[in-house]
Amino acid sequence: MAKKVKAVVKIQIAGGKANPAPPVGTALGPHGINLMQFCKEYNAKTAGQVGQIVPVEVTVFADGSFSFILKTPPAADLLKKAAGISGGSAVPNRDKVGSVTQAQLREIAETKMKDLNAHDIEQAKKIIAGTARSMGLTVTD
Amino acid sequence: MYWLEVAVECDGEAAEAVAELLRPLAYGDGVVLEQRSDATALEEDALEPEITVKIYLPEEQDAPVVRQRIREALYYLGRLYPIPEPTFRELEDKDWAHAWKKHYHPFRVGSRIWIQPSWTPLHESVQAGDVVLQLDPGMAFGTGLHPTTQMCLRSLEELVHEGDRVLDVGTGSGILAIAAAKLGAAKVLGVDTDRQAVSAARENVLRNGVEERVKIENGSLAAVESREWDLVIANILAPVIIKMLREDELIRYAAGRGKFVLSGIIDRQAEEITQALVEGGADVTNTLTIRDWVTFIAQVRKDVMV
Repeated sequence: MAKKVKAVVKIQIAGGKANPAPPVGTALGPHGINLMQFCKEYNAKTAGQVGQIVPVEVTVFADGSFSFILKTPPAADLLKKAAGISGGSAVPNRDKVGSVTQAQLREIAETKMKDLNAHDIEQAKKIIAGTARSMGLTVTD
Repeated sequence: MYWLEVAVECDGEAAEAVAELLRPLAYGDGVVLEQRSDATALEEDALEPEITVKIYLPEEQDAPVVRQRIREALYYLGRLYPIPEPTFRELEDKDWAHAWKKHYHPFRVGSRIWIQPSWTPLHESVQAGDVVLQLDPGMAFGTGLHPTTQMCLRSLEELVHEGDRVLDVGTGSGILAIAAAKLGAAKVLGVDTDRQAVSAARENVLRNGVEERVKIENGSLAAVESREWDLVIANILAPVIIKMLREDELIRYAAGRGKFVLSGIIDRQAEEITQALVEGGADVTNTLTIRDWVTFIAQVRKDVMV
């Protein structure tokens, strides 16, 4: 019989640099996960992606055991790199901080396709465009 | 001290935007997206799941003005998506750092090593002649639960001889250094670059009554003066071990045809470890595998023996 799932927690942290302090500790500690064990596995598996945010989705079982899968970098992180900006707008509906092209949107949508709840690339592009809008980015042709 | 938790409840679509908005303020740039448990069984085409986005700030970065800035930033984003007010909570270390302990019970590794959490009574199956390691790993690596540590302990059972001198690089909780001493080593040195690990390891050494034979020092391999070790252990991670082999002459720390236990290596990194070992002057004599983790046993080659 499948083990009982207690929680699903996604943590966006820098590859290769997990440690038991927050957010890892505060996110996983209360679920009874052995923090050191998680950090060691995560760091070993993301050793080649230092400098990038590598989200990890952790499934916690009722007995304190866990499994995890690595995800593609957040859309916002990819959008920032595409637009060449360091951060999103504080007032995204008013102050625009940059722009991305349709081609860039498509490229990001393709990268993230397997993690998005989208049936085709056009739908995936719309999701990415929504994230761009919320960061104060405009989309150009 | 406490950690400030900032939590925002939103749907899946807004979650990424909220995460991005909060990230610059978050400790270690880390953001948590927790799917609320009632949402885990959703059908694939159901509505977007409900998500709680959380970040953490150390106490010294918490101030009314900071909380106000977070509220304002979310307010502006709220013009695009409906987003409820954030909630703020102050968390004490005890709320999360030690929660896993209740799942940590005495257990056996290899044929006669027992790991015994220091706050639990001796396991009833422990027999005379068994080696019992009393541990409180604190916030240091090395609980004995991880496959890499278990493979190291099994290797030590075979490799440590009475009177040996053993070096443990990246000692963490001190688990392997203490095991070596209890298996008969006469002199053990454990080093770690993490100060928290050093203090946890020193406490564990005292707890096990092996302080005459085990010294724990703060530092990396470079801080180790002696190069007369019968056995050198490094249970860290592949990139660190490769660097020590290629740049820091790890092989030269062994006496005569000294041996090595190298662990914390994922299978796809094994080839590079083998290469670095051979270039450094050692032969791989055995490997152990649990899941995708590999542990290497190696020995200094005859022709490079110093």
